[in-house]
Amino acid sequence: MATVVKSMATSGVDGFMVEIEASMIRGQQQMLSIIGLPDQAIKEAGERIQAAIESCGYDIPKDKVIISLAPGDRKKRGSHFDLGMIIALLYQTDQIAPKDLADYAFIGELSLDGRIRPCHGVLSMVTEAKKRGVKKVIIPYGNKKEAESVSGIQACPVSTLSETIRFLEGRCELFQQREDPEGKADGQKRFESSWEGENRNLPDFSDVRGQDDLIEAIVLGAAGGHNILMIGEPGCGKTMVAQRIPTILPTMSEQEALEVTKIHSIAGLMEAGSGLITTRPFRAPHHNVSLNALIGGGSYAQPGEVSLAHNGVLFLDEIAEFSRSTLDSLRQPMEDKRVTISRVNGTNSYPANFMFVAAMNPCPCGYYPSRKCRCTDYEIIHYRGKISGPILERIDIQKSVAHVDYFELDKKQGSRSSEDLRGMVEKARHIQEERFKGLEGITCNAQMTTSMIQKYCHLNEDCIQLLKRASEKYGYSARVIHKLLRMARTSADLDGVDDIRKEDIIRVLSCRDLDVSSSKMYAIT
Amino acid sequence: MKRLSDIVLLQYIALTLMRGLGPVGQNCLLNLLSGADSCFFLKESELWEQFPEDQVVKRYLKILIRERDNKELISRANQIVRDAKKEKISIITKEHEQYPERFRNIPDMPIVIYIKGNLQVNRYKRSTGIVGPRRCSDTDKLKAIELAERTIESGSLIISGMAKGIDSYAHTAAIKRNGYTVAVIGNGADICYPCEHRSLYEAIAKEGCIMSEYPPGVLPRPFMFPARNRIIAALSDNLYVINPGRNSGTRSTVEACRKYGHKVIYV
Repeated sequence: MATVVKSMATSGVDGFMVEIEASMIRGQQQMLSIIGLPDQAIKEAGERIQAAIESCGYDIPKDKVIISLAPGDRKKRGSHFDLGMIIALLYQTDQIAPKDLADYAFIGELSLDGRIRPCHGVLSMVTEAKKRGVKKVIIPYGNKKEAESVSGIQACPVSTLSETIRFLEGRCELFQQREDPEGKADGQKRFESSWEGENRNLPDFSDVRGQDDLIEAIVLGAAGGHNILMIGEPGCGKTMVAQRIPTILPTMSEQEALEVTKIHSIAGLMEAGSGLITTRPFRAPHHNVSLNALIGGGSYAQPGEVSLAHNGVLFLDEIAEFSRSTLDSLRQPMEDKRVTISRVNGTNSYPANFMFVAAMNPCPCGYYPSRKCRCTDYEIIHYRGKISGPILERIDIQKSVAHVDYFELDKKQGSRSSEDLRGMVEKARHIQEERFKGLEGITCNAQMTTSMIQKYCHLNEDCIQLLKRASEKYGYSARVIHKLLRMARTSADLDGVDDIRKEDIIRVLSCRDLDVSSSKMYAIT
Repeated sequence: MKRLSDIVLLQYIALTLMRGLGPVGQNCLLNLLSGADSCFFLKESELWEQFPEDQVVKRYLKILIRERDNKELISRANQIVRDAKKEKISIITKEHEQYPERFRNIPDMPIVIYIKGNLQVNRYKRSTGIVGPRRCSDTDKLKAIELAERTIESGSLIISGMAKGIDSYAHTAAIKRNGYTVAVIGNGADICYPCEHRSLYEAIAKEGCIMSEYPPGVLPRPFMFPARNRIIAALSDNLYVINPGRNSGTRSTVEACRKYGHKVIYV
């Protein structure tokens, strides 16, 4: 009779259960055959298993062994089936006597000497295991914290094969269980404790000096979910500010943290031994990034930068240098907050709900409008035209970043701390949550539809006049005015007032610097 | 308007394609033999009868006799005519009425020019050239724009080279003021160089004209720009030069202008 051992696999961000079956056929030539659409890593598992059996003092079976990974029609990949396969093999050949084998799922890669290595995607697999009613899951010690962030399932971290077998046979307790006899500390508590540990070394907005206008715009963007484009000369602090944006976004809920951790775990970006990711991700791909690296791809449809930036910030520095097709591919994820990638080995859908922050120079030489700049107006228009219309369309805030004089910096006060700013953002977000309660898919002001703008953005006569004058001066289209109104709503929310005031309009008008600067160009367009 | 027969047009183009014969030689032969057709139809002996005792002219005639039997010339000329038609470029020769009068008395002007747009240079009594460096400061830019606007208001046309910087502002100002402007460029008239001037190029082709001595499809090369500058100089009665740098290409325009006896004004 064949032995059946449970293991897990990943497909996209989700896991699925794989049953490892081992069977022996007597009287045939000695061999180990692994079936069930395995990839190269799984095929090589045979060698690892034999070496580990040898080094742990067990016997390699003398007959033909077939290991099957069910369901047989789904492609599987990764090296984490090793542990399940070796347990199934040893049990099938009666070399071990585990108790309650059916209660366990096994995840782990074997090394030749029988140690167990950490692997990718553990969080997704453990979550799925819990859903499928598995009681205990055996995981590599290196993935302990990651697996423990799932409550309601017992994670048993092991570091060697012998330890695993002793534990299964009931001959020893695991290290982790000695530490925490109940085995299930409250998930929320663990989540909170990891918060404090991780946030100590983050950058803070109080380090930024002399960019108060910009920071005001950033807070506006963070509060209303507006995408931001920063325009400024080299070295004026665009990147420095962008890196600090995640610190003023509202703290992640446990659900959000789980989503982020799953994606990072699948992409293999988790640091060994780290648990739930509780800081919002900040991804800054270089401008020669390929379309597939940005959106996701590869033969197994792995998550790309947009998904790695899920619940965080995607920062494109020098956005004008990105290839047009790469930038244009961002349109759909920005709209749908999700990307679906199809490849030969399957179709995966990843969440991609990020705040989009971009930076660029105002002109090819980088110094417009200072006297240093010698670019012609046509060159500047050409340079700005590199960002395609549809992307520019999705960016509400275009803020020029002022040049800072290093020797004046000491006199200037630092900005408010990230914590203060985050407080403001959280307050404004809270107001928005109340406002959009019960509306599917709309969480912040930036997503308001035209009818909602009419409903929520009442202007008094003063504001209308102000807006009209600006619109005549710079030739704003109706669409740009809708953007301004959305931002004005956020601006009012930040101050906690119900009606949009004149100050709000002034504030948002100062957030369209690129339009203003482009309208000054002397050229035929 | 006198219509040129196709064959004469081809002969003009073929003349410009001959190796070893520049605009000076071409003009010289045309004057000597009074017309392009005689360059091709006169027998060798008849040609020699015409020639005066001049070593230079003798050399031009030798080249003509050597080159005119080259069948390839006419087929290349045919190709140019086809390309020009496709790109909506008109070919103006010395025999056309529209051929700029300002070219007639200058020996080194091209005998064939390629025009995208409307060539109306002869309608304007006064023409003004505005040239300057490609990299300029804001004040220079404003100067150029103001000057161009004043020029247009005074009823003159504006000649420039559609290069980056001052040239582009001069053209832009002319078009914004609904004036007539000619861009003399150093490559085929169908090519927009520099490429960011695409919209300007189209506006000039619509409101004024793009002029080139090179057939369609010729890519810009460094030596073509000083050559183009002499045409700007020949077309402009007054040449305004805005803040040229020491090694600026503007210098060649100024030198040519002095040679043709036109007025150069530094701004």
